[in-house]
Amino acid sequence: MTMSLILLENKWILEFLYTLIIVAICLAIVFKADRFVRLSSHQGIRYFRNAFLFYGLAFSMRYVLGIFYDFSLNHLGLIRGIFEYSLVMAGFFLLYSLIWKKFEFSKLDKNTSLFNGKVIIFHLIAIIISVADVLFGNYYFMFSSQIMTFFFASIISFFNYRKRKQYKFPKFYFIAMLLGLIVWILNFLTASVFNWNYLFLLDIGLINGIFFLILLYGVIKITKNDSKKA
Amino acid sequence: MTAKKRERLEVIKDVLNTIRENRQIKPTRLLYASNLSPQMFKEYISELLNKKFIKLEIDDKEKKFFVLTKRGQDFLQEYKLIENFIENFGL
Repeated sequence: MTMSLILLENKWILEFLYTLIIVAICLAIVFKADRFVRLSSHQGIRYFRNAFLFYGLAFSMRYVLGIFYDFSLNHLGLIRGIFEYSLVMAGFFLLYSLIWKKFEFSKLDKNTSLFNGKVIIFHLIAIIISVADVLFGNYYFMFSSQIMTFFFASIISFFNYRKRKQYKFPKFYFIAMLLGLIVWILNFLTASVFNWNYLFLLDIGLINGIFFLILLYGVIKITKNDSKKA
Repeated sequence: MTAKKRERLEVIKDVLNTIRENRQIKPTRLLYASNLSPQMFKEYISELLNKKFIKLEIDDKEKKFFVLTKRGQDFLQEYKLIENFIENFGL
């Protein structure tokens, strides 16, 4: 039996394990970041934490969506909409965590980070994107939005890396954003050219896993290292 | 050359450090030491009181003092970590 057949036959186990790992990574990041949010109320850390809250939700919904799709259950559109909305919001929060200082001028902690005046725009765009994709029966609005999001996040994190050479992690953060961009471009190609080839999707899942692991590594290293610059 | 504008967290750290160094400090002295405008000082102090980083105590002579709480001490201990987190992730 070839490797590809083994992988195809154990699709459900693989999907379950993959979801479990990614959701566990997201939760670990959320809890680690939340400790700092509670102490500092720093808006950037809040948005970063929110990104992984939505990634966790999105990957859980992705697994549920797989079940709904394979067993042709009702309300597939709703589940798909929630999945896409969460994934798009996660990307937006990640990008906004890098640029929020350009848009929020108050130095004091006054607003919630999930539904404030600025973030509400992201919610609206995410809803429009997910509804449009469900209506048109494809994922291209989400893919396009996330390719743009990660393109900008890559550029910003590259400049952050150049500006913060005394710190070790910005280089890895830039690599993570590039991987994120690659994942979304590959997703787009798999859907448009390779007809959702499962083995292609597995490769994308692997790169995606590396993206999350890099960020988890950074969070653990920095929250542990109390005397030196990480 | 103008001095760099302090970030919000840096202001909080400076205010808490001043209180820690003095163990207890009168509001007016803290205002001078903080280098903030009276309006900004009021807003920061109200945030620090809300977060229970500091508390206002009144002595026998009815004089008011700010003192650092356990939560405020925790913040000062973790400040370097938080700053590292912000810088490393570009937040």
